[in-house]
Amino acid sequence: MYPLTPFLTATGLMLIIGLTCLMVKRDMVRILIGVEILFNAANLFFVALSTQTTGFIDPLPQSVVMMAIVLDGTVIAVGLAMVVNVYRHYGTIDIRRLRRLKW
Amino acid sequence: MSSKVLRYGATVSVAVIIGLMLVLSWITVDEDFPAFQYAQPGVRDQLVEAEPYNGIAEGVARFLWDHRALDLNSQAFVIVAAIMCSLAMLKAEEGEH
Amino acid sequence: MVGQELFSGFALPLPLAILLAGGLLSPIFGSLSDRMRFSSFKGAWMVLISGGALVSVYLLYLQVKASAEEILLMGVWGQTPPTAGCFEIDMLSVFMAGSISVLGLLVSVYSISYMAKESRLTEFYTLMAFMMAGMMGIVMAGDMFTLFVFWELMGLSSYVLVAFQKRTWGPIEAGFKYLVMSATAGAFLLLSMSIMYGMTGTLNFAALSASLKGAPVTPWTIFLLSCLIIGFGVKSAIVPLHTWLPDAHPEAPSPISALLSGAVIETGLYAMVRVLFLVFEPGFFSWPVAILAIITMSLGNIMALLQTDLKRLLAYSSIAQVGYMLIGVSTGLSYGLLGTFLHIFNHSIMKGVAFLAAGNIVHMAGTRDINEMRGVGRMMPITTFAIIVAFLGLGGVPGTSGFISKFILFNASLGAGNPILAVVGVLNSTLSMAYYLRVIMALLDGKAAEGMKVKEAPLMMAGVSLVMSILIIALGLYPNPVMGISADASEALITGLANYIGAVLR
Repeated sequence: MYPLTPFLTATGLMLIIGLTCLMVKRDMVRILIGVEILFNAANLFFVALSTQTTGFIDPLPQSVVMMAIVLDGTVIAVGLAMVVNVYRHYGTIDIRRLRRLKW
Repeated sequence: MSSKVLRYGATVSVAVIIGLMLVLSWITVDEDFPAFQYAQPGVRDQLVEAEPYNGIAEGVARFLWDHRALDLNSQAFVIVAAIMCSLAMLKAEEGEH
Repeated sequence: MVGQELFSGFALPLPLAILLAGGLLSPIFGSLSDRMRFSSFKGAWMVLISGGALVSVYLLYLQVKASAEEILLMGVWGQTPPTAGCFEIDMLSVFMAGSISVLGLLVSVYSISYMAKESRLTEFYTLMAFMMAGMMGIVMAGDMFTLFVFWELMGLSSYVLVAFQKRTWGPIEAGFKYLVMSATAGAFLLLSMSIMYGMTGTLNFAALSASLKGAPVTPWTIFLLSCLIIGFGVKSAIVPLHTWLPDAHPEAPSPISALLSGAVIETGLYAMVRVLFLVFEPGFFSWPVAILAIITMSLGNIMALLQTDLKRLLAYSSIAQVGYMLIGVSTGLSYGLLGTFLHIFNHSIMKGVAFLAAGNIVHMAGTRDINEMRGVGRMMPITTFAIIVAFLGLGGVPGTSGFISKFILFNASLGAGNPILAVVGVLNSTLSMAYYLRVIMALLDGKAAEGMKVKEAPLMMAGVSLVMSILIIALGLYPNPVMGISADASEALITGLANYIGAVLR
């Protein structure tokens, strides 16, 4: 069987990059890209698990990935529609300006 | 006050990311991932034949249709819901310019 | 008949089929009614399908009770479980489905008159139907990936329903924050699904339970537990992950606030309880969940003391009530889970009527600030009665149904050997009565704020509030029917686990 450690490293790296992008970036579209990177980290791990069978074919995780791509694509699409509306109200897509709702 | 909140938020996020990096690197290198160690017998058979190399995609597609029809149908409903969501977000309201 | 074949072997549970088909037909009826200028048809269709869902949940309950060992297993097109997605319905699923459909019916009747002057009503009712269908799918799922697909359906509809009134800046900001946090949680949920698949090779609940149940504690299982708690905890508002809730619940339209607080949070909590009890031993996660319960209760109540906005106060109160429910989860006993599920049902009715009555006040008086709505209570008697009953129930006063569920929760935590939880819980209940009484006193103040002259709310809105408050008092004085069903539900999770596994892996 193929060793899983390189794939685990890649998944962990994508998790860290996605969380960093989510927490540090100021632009709303880049925050949504960070969310997408997080989803793809999980998809990568699913695909990596299909290497554990002979011939690299394990249809169950591959079908899960095919459906998860569609699901998170719809979430990002709705997020972008909201970004359009935020721009109409605030005139900027800087998330540090969205501080009108206090604690 | 807002710069103090920003500094606090930045500190917490940096701490979380560094902590996560340490935990993930330790857990990846030191501990073995128990790949399929807990699998019950009879759950992990060979489901798609690997022999005719061009037929793999068709085999996976057939598996998807034969065994995962519920998820395919609910995915169609998620796409319809996403269309209605985008319509609700982007439609101009009556009385607006 | 209820759960079985619809056509040519395509079997779905009937409540889910009614809500999905109704949500799919709702745009057609909406554009038809726009053409015919008969605008209340969209609301009437929504009431029709949620009423149909409630009736079919009752029929499903009869069918589940009559079948062998009270478990119903259903696969689409006759596909068998371990490799295929399936629905596995036991008494707990029927209980949660009933709770969701009762609240959904009452909220749809309310929103006919509340949202009567809004634009884009077709999309509103369609998304509400899809949100309820997503919740039904989650409580009936027998497979981890089926749960994920319906989880995303419910979440997607709720993001847009929070940001629905996009004319002002508040809902949009709240909706975006909610979307980012909830999508991150969805990614962590997918990651935990992949770790579970990696360990066992299957995603089916029963097969996962048979494989992972007695496993020794390794760092990977601790990582799995934390990913699961993060993934489910954002939707169910557990404390470090709750920061979207105080913005999203006030800014949503009032019927959607009631549905969010009353059903969506509880469905997230149900999913967490189901997966944790299936995959791990109760002793493994009882102390992390107990610590989270203490933090959640305390933070929710303390932050609610400082609020001047009525709906934001109710949102923080929801966070505190989730803390009470977590007490029952941390005990790991069937009696503790009885308290949790009974409190889920009671909280959905009580918080639902509190948000709907607050919606009455906001609709008629035009303000959400407590100091500006002084004396409004004397001009709106039915609404004030409803909101007083709701607050007494939320605080746990004897005579309302909230007292019974809180009593069972604290009793269970004493019995499980965790007296700290009971002490903190009782202190927090007392603290919560402080801010509820402050709102009641502001409403019943004799000296009205200047310029405030309001009539009672329209008939449907006031009528729904009255019906729900009478239900709270009736269930407080005669809780036997609901207690019987929730006892069956909590038994099904703990002692019926062997039946659950046996139905799939024969």
